[in-house]
Amino acid sequence: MTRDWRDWVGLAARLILGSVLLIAGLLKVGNLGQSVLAVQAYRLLPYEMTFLVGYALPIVEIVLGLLLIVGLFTRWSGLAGALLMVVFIIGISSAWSRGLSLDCGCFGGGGEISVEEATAAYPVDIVRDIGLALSGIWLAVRPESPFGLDSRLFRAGKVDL
Amino acid sequence: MATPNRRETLRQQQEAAQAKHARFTRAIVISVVALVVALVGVFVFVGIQAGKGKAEQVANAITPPNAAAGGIAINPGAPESAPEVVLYVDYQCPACRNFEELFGGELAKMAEDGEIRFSQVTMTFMDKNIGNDSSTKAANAAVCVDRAGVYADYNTAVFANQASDGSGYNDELLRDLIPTELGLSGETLTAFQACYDGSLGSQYVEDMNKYAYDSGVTSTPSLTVNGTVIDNSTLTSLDALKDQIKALS
Repeated sequence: MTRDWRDWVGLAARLILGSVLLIAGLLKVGNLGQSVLAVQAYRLLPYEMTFLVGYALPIVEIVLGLLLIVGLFTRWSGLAGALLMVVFIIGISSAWSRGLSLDCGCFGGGGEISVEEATAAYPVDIVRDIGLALSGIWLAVRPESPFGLDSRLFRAGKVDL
Repeated sequence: MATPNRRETLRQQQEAAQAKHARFTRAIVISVVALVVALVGVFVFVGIQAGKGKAEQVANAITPPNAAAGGIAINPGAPESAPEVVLYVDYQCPACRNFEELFGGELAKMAEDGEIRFSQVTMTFMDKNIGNDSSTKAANAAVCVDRAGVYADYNTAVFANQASDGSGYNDELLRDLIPTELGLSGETLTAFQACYDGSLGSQYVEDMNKYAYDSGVTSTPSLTVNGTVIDNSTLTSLDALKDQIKALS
């Protein structure tokens, strides 16, 4: 049987968004203190909240990344991934517009860097996150893709007689 | 007669298979969701605890006698009319050591002459960047030593002993060598060391981190004059520093 080309787009979206989230989470989870600092560099949240987000974000990224890679709850994982990217885009744009020069802390690290480095990195970060958000939106709209657990778990029962 | 029976049996088998599959799917879904919720819950809980600081751990937490402007006042007797100058440092930040060497003397002189109301806020984020706890230990020590009235001198001595290789500060230096060098002895020294050993200043250290964040300071060294953060690139000389302070007074 030949697959719809859109299935393959779905697989690509799952693997790209999933692996980026997984890697980003893994790079942060080993140093949660630094993750908190990265959040604080944005100066958007109340002090106490920066700890909550700094601790929770890496594990959320790892979980979403794994779910997307194995293709489980693809529609919801894709939607959550897209929302996360929208939040990141807002955060980076906000930092940029307020004249802050920070490392986005997307893959660990974070904190203040030189103005030149920051202004060079912001557009790249935002374009990357837009691409990832689009992958998530695709999956939220059309979660069908090959090699996913969803199809094995939720559709195998519906056998045509 | 055999055909309907066989069809019936097949149908039952198929329904049984479907029910089994449905149970399996439900079990998987419930386990995964439970695992995710538990995992994220643990991290959120730990994060909330970290955000609260060490209040519960330190029963005899102290506030330094010269607590002022979110940090510790260098010249607590300064006239109210003088501009409020706050220096934000991390004891492990190399640029802070440079700042101390370049501008520390001048700021101390201005403080002595009552031209500024000078205080310092110690931050500890370098601990997370480097992966040790030297900034926190040194900041706690500085809070403790304020009770002996030698905060400024202790501060200078800590920076003078800053390691260039990021190896931080050891307990012997912070707890014994520097205070002895500054003339602490007898009961004063014992009280300081008890404060150091019990991390009794750690809550105040955490309060200073929060104060810095709330003041819009996320890097060190940072200098604020009456609440305005000065752009470090403008601080090219002692005169530039004085001009900046005057301009914002």
